[in-house]
Amino acid sequence: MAGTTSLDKVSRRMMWNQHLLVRQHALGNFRTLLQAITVDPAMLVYLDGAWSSADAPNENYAREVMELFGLGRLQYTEDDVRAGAKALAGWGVDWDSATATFYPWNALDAPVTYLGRSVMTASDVIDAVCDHAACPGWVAGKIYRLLVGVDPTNTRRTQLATIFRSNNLEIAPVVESILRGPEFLTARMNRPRFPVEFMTAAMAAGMKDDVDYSRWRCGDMGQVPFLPPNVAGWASGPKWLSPSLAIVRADVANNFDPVAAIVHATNPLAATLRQCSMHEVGAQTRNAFAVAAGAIFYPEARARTLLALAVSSPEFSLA
Amino acid sequence: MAGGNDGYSMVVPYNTGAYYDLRPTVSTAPGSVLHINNEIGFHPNLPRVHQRSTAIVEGLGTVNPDLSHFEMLRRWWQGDVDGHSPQATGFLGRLCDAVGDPNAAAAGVSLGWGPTPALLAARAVTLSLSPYDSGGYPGPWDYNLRNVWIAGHRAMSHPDRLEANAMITTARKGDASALKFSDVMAAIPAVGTGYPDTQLGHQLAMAARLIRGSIGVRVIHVPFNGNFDTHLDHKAQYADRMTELDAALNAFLAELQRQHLMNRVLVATVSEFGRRATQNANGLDHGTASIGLLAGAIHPGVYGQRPSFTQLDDEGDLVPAVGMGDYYATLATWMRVDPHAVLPGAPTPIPGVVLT
Repeated sequence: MAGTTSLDKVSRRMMWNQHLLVRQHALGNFRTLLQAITVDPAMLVYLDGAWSSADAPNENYAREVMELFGLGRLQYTEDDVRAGAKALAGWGVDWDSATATFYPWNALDAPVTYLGRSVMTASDVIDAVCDHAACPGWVAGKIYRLLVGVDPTNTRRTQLATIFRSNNLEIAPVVESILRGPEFLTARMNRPRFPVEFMTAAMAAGMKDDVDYSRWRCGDMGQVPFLPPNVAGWASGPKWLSPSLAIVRADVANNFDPVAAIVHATNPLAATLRQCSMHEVGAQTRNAFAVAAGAIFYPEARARTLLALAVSSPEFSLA
Repeated sequence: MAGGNDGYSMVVPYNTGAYYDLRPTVSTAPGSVLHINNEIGFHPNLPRVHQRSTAIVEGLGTVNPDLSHFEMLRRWWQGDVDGHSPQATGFLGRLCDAVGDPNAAAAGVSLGWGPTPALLAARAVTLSLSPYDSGGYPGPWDYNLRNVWIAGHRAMSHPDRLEANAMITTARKGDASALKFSDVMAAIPAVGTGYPDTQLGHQLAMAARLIRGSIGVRVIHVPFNGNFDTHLDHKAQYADRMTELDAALNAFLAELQRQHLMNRVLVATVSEFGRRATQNANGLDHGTASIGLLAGAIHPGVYGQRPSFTQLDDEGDLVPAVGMGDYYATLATWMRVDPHAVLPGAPTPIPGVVLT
């Protein structure tokens, strides 16, 4: 999801603090999250708020907070971007302590008009964004897309927006509605797993605990944590299913030790699918596993091969 | 050469006094430089490359330079010539789209882990692989287990006409492409000798094999895994890079010569930026203008223009003379691709480089 910062531009400590902040508010209140991240040191540095003053404001965050985070394109004007930038200005960052401080002399001393309201501070800007009619639908739509793999229908988006607004922009009720919705139950293998998702699932299935290895292979698949290609983050799409990634997944899958539960199982094929949480496997894949299971005599070799086939299967590469 | 290759350590302006004034301790002594002409010469650790037919593009850089690895790598990968024209595909990927055979096992290959953004294509199959696996599909060492494993993957990657889920079909196709490439690679004999046992040596041996095989690969991306980001200890680090480059590149060119393939290949270096004209304590920080080195079927010589070492820009960096657009346009023209079809702006190939 959008809302990224890059380790390329900020310190490790700032990056980690921002990560903790997002975790803290992920199922909390969206307005609180957006307020907090607007003055988060890493975000201030990444989107250039940290050196922005009201008489020479930097427009980067002012634009992205609307285009990517809160409203989507076409919901605001360039005048709004300029006004927003002025009202957001005045914040500076101290690298040694990884903290942000407000300097009134760099900020506005009189209000400006932004999204049809009078604003003077960063807090005013975020309130204006959150109160905007387009906000709940935009944000709820992105959550839906992450969990279900596709965009919601207009009707469903409006429904989720209503839930979001009537709950004061609390995120949990929206998530609950999505997870309990009929589309979620049928939304299996709708989108590729991101490398981070694949590695998490693969390492869990293979019962391997090696953070460095996971991070290295995520890089091999084109997703280095905390180094997104741009502010929009990593886009979902078929490129995550390219031959290059198939090769990496095959290699990852071949590097696990035999899992005891599969080695000792009376039905190693069923045990493998359970181990990988693969509840819905096409006939083709299932047949491939069955042939492999039947072709290997020694339980450890059989367990290792079955797990490898499962983790590198087309099904396992999808969310 | 990711990291920021100091072109003016590779090609030394040994008669330029200002160069030595700015780099008292990280520069190469004029006496040890391998002369190209009476103004420039190769780094002393490039004796074999020195004997080869090469083209040097002096003053290679970009307009609107940025000194961030991330931003500049993105621009060079994408062919974003001015920093304001991001592309959804890679420049090399667009070349693959233009000339690649859609039925080939792969039109573009990157010889290193990690799908490179440079080869991101709209239609052509491009893939990355480790140069140490000979392009083979990863799998167990044991012969029998490997057969079971590969059979399993052939079965899983076979298209299933009854399947309604488009994502699964795409996933199967990706795996099928990887297997197909592995099969095609296995059929090409490995004959190359004389390659050094370095990563670049392995990469170029693999590149030669891909070319010999004529399997439809038109672009080979070789990520040189060495530290070019020489903020510290530049002289010793750079000397090691040049040693590795000299042996590997020479072995590659020698094999192309033996196999009569030299007239089919263009070798071109790319780095995201050069380094500062002035040294720091014992190294060089990020800079702008660098050089491009070309080999293979090109007209040898010195092209472009050396930046002034006395008239630097406001940041104290060298002013480039040849931009990414024109450099890339030269590569495109070599491949008989219209530069305007693959690059933004109005790029023109550097005159004289491409043989007509």
